[in-house]
Amino acid sequence: MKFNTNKQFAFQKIFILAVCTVVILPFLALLFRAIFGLDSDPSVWIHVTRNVIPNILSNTFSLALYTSLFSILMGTYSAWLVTLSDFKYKKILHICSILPLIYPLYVMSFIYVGLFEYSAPTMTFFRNEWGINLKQFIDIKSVTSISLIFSLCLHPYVYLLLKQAFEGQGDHLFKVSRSLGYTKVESFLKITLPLAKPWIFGSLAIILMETLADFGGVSVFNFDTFTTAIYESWTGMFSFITATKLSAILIFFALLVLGAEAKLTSKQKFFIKSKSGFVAPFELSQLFKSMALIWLLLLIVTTIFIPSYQLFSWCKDNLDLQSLLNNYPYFYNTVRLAFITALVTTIVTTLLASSSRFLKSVNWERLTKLTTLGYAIPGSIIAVAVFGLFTKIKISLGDFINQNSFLYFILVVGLMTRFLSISYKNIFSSFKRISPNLDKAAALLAKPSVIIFKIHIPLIKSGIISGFLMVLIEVMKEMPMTLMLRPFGKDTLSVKIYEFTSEGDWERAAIPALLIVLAGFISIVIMTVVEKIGSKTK
Amino acid sequence: MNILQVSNLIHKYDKETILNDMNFTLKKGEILCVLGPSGCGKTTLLNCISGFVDITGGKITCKEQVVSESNFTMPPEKRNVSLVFQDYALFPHMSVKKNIQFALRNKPKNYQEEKIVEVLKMVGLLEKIKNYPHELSGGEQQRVAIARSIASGNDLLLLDEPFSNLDPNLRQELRSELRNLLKKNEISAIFITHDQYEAFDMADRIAVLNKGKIEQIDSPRELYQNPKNTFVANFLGSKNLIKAIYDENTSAYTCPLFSIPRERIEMSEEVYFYLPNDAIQLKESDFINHDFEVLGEHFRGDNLELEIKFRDIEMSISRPAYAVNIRDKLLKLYFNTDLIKIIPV
Repeated sequence: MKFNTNKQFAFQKIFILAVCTVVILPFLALLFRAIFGLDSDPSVWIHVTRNVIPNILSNTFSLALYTSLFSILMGTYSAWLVTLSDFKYKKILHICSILPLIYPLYVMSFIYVGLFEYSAPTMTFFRNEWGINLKQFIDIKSVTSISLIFSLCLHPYVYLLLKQAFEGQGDHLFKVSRSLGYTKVESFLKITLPLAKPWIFGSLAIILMETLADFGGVSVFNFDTFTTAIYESWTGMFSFITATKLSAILIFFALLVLGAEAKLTSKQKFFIKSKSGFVAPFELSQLFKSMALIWLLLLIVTTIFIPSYQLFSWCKDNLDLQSLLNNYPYFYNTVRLAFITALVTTIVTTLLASSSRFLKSVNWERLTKLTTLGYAIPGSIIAVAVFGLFTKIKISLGDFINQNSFLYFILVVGLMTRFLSISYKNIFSSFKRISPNLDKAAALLAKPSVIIFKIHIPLIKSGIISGFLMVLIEVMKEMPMTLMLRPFGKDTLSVKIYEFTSEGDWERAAIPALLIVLAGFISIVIMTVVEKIGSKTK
Repeated sequence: MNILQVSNLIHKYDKETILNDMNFTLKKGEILCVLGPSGCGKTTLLNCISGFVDITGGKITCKEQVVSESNFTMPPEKRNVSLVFQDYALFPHMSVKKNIQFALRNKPKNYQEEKIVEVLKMVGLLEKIKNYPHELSGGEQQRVAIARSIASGNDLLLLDEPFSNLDPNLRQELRSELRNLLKKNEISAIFITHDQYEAFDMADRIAVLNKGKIEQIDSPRELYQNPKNTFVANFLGSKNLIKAIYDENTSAYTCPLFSIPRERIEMSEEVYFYLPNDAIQLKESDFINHDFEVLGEHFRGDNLELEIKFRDIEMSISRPAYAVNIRDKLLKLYFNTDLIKIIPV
């Protein structure tokens, strides 16, 4: 281990260390308190270990298991159809396989819960017209149903990564396998699929992280998991230390997923991208064609038709000027919070990226990478962590700080911790496209601060902008942290959705939900555009 | 016995004819190089033979068995045809051993173990048996890929520009290594390349492809000495072509340098003299001679490359430096008209 510790670039080093501290310290403090605060609130803790933990453990596990299973199956099937078969409607399937990303889990969840309510129009229709009580067949609040609904939203991650994996392989390996005596199916099972393993694990990690982190979705189903238990023990039982302990357990699982992901996806780099062309080798038989078509229609109905129909029909009845005006303050709060967070995050990441580039040291780069750890950690835990640490600091400083501005500050810090990795990815990848020789040439002519503003920032502008927009939209969709840390009177759209859905008031939740889905739609468009630009500049 | 017979092969894609009426055969142990500019249909030809694309017309026969016809395509896994690609196509998730074992399915365990050692010894990589592809150099990876094809026991090997990712020295080394291996194991091969020297090195016969048609298929020497037309001559022969004009009075083809009596070639409008290297001599002799102006000299180590001009005829020749005798920027050349060919466009 050799750190570049000479005095050159002192500002850059201090900056990286400072960001690392802000991001990592709350978690260390949280773990410290969880371990050494065992004797506080003993009665609550005993109650929690006896009555809550066994239940949430099994719930969280079964939800994670089923959701990853369904998502992998759905995503792999779509990816196989789009890349390896001669399915006629590939382009439509491709769009339908990405589009579900626009729904936050909690929006999709409350749409389906609302759809299957006893008094819902569809249920009434089935009862009155055909005498069928759908409730007998479908229990919308069972683990299976919840994981299916979650998988509808999450399988695009599997789809996108596997599509990339299949296409990247090129067709030479497949052809060699066949020339050595293996049929199409054998070659797929022995070559194509095993080669995609790192990508499957990568997408599995994303699904697990999203499922573990979800709060809004499971609370709509009244399905207790770690995140709801953390929220309950803090706001319901007023035991912050219990929330801290539960968080520590969940952090353990999150880090486990993160570690497994890092290990299992590390081989990706050896599977060099092939330059060879790609001809879809599988010709679908009549039966398989019909199956593919049914799958496509099912996707369209469940992820496009039902959600949009349901949202619009709820909105229709109370979509007037008054209700829009009622929602305006929440919209304003949401956009303001998202804008401030995205701005802070982007500035911090740009300076991080630029600093790490100046230092040109593997260890400093690793340290910089450490600042992105927050993406693996559920929002509710980050809320507990930053609240715990910064309240201690605030108390020791004295009570001249306004509680509301304090909460706003830690909320922004927490959100930045959670979404730093998004802008990091965008900015670092555009940095990588700049030749290091450019830096050398510039270093001969100017000092670092000038290089940052005159050379780096103009060149990575597209990465900065796309990172900024993606963070902006993620913050708009974020629910648990915003819910737990929001200052008084600063309710956002997602907070309102939580409040309305917890009372079963779907109609009123629909307008903020529609606004958030629109934001999600914009983020998908940005993602596609950035990808297009990226592939062009390559 | 013919390992492969291609007769009247036609392949169309979206109404565009990619391969047009191709005919050739390949004997056991024979190496055929397919040479041609990019987009001439070389890779499509391999895809037809290996069974990855259907053919529109004609017939492909492997060892007396029809494998492709206009309404029938035998799947690639049943053809006993191996493939080697430019990007090596080793399975990155398998060790060298497993890669070769992959080609030995349904064989007894003992046989597998013996064969793996045998083919790895052939390519000199036995010590890398446990390594993974990403731990090998490009040359080593290609050797493993060749070993894998030999192990498969298939008697036809198709190679699609296998060495073009390697540096020139290594390329040369691997060429002769591959040729020896193929000959020793009596494996027939079709070797695609765009490098004429590679083709000269490897091939028993060379097929020159242009726009989906075989322009000429012959031994390297025959192709060089007797190209059928200017395309073949340009692609692999000497670049020295001089336009020839027919003189009715003398019944001869003429150019400012010489004239050669010959019957008129029908069909073709334009006719050229093709001058292989040995038709142009520096040594004093009775042959017809001319003084050429030397426009440029390029030192190439063994040889001196000269750009020369006589009136409006520009040529280039390459000769050992000691043999070149330039006086006042002039060089006297002697032309052996017996070796000069007259070819159509």
